[in-house]
Order: sequence, then C-alpha cells, then structure tokens
Amino acid sequence: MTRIVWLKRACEYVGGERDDPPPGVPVSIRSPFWGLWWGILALLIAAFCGQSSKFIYIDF
Amino acid sequence: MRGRHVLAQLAVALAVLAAGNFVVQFLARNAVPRALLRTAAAAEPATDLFLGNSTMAAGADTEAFAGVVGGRPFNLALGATDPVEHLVLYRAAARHHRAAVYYGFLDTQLTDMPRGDWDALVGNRALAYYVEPEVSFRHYFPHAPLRATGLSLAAHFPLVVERTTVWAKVEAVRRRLGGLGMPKRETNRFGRAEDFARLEADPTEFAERLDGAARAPLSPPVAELFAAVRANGCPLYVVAMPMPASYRLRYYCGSGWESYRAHLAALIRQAGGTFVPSADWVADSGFADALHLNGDGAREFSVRLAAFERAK
Repeated sequence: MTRIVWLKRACEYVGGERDDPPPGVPVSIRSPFWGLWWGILALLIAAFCGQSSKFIYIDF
Repeated sequence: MRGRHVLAQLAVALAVLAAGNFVVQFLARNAVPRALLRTAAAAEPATDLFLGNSTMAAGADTEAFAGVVGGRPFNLALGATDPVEHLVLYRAAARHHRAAVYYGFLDTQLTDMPRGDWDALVGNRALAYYVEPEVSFRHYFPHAPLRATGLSLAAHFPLVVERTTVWAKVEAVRRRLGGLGMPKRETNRFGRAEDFARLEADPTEFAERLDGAARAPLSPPVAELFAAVRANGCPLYVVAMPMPASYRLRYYCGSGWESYRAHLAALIRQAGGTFVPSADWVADSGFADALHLNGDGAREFSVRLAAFERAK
C-alpha cells in the first residue's frame, strides 16, 4: 500500500467512513485518544459554526 | 470495546470541552460589557449618564457635553443591545444613580416587546446571562419559567454563552484573508460600515409596525428603566437619536411616524421624562455609516443635547 493510499484510508477511518483502520495505525479503538479527538472536533465546530450567522458583530 | 473504554473516552472528551470552556472564559474576561462595567465602577459618580445602543455609544461625546454644562458625564451606552440590557446596565451601575439619564433610542424600540432567546443573546447581549440574569430572563421569558431556567443553567458555560468571543476572532481572520488583494472595505469602531445598512428594515414592514406601535404602551423593560430613574429622583431625557437624511426620508416622513412620535412623547411625559426630538440635529456629513455619528457629528449632537438640557 502506497503512503498516499494509507493516508487516505487513515483519514477515512478517523472521519468515520471506514470501520477498519489501515494496517499499522498505532491507536486502538479502545484508546482514550478518541475522546481527545472527538473533544477537539467538538471545539472546532463550536469555534467555526458562527459562520452561519447572518451578521457577526465585531467591536473593533 | 467495553463500556469502561467508552466511559474513559467520554471523560477525555469532557475534559477537552472543560478546557475549551476555561479558554473561552479567559478570552471573554475583557468582553466589551465587562470592560464597560469595570470602567463605570471605577469612575467618579456621574452627573449625566448616557444609555442606549451603539447609536448613543458613538453619539455621546462626553467632553463636548461637559464643555457646555460642566459636571462628569459618563457614557454607559453599549453597541448591539436592547432595552433589557440597558435596564440591566443601569441597575448594575449603582454608582451613577444620582445622574440625569439620557436614553437614546431609534425607531419603535421603546414600545417593542423584548425579544431574546438562545440565538439572539450573543455578543454584547450575552451580558443578559451574567449581569442580573433573573432581571433579563424575567423580561425575556415572562410566561416561560422553564425556558428561563434552561438559559440560567447555560450561563454557567462560557463556551456556550460567550461563543461569539471565539466567532469574532474567527470572523476577523476570515475577513482578513477574504480581503487579500481586494479593495479595502470601510470600517469604523463598530465593524464594517456596509453591515449597518443591511440592518435597516423594509419600509413597508416598518409602516405596518408603526400602526401597532402607535397604540402600544412602553415595553416592560423600558417602563422599568424609566421608573428606576425617576425613583432615584433624577431627570430623564429620552433622545430620538440622530439619523441620516436618507434614513429619515425612508422611515420618519410619513403620517404613521408622526402619530407614533406624538404617542411616544405622551408616554414619556407620563413616565416623568422629557422627549428630545433630535433625529434631524446632525447633517449627513456627521455620520460614519448608515446609523452612527462620527467624531464631528457626536460633538455637534452632544453640544446641542447639553444646550437642550440647559434650556429646560
């Protein structure tokens, strides 16, 4: 498996599209790392969801 | 995977969210309402207090005002706020409760029923969550105590109620990147000048709104604010904020506005206040955008307001 294909599958795995990780992923499904991952994603969503607001008031 | 693995992951995710909560709390420590209240608490007791939204925040030039009548005027007006927030700010600034109050308004703000909910109480209006939330929610949810309780609980999570602190930073970066190689867009202390033109209502909808408003009483937070000022034994001036000619032509030239204005003047008189008809006091050259006065306009308006007060 080429590196780019491995990377693509790894991205698909962390994005939830693929159930099984590509060979050699060092993090097991049982790892607390996934809590960190989903926590960070939730924070990123919270930070960027204001884009849908019609008018963001910025007091310079 | 066992339950304990899921619980461990959930605990880590919650820890990340808690860390995010602390970061937002830290970032919001100098949010505009907090900074304003800190300044108000540190200032000498004012003799004249300006209240209202961004039109008054930009319009009151305290130095120019003091140049005419003397004293220690203080500008407690705050951008992007509604009457409930004005009431809460006034109550919080107890140090200045011996001051004459100049309350700026525009359109039908004094008779509109307060509207505030999850989606609206953001930015400066988030002060509803952390400065006397019981007063804010009493006005926003007079018949929905459960909703008020829900929002009171949300007040404990800065990540939620102060979310625009982060949004504003993201938006500032987005605007900077979006502006690369583009003509510079005009900005002032409140943001992009063009954004405020977009806040204007449809004239037909405004005329319909005037129909109902011409028979409406003062909204509960406005009535409470006026009563509080009068209970403190202070003069109350209710100021129709200056607007550019195009704005006045679009909204303030029909018979509907005249009826509403007369109705409003009567309500203000009954409440013990004085109506200040200053919508046309400043020429268009005195405006920074579609709503706000610039430095020269603020000076001119404040001098005239002081002269009006002196002539009373």
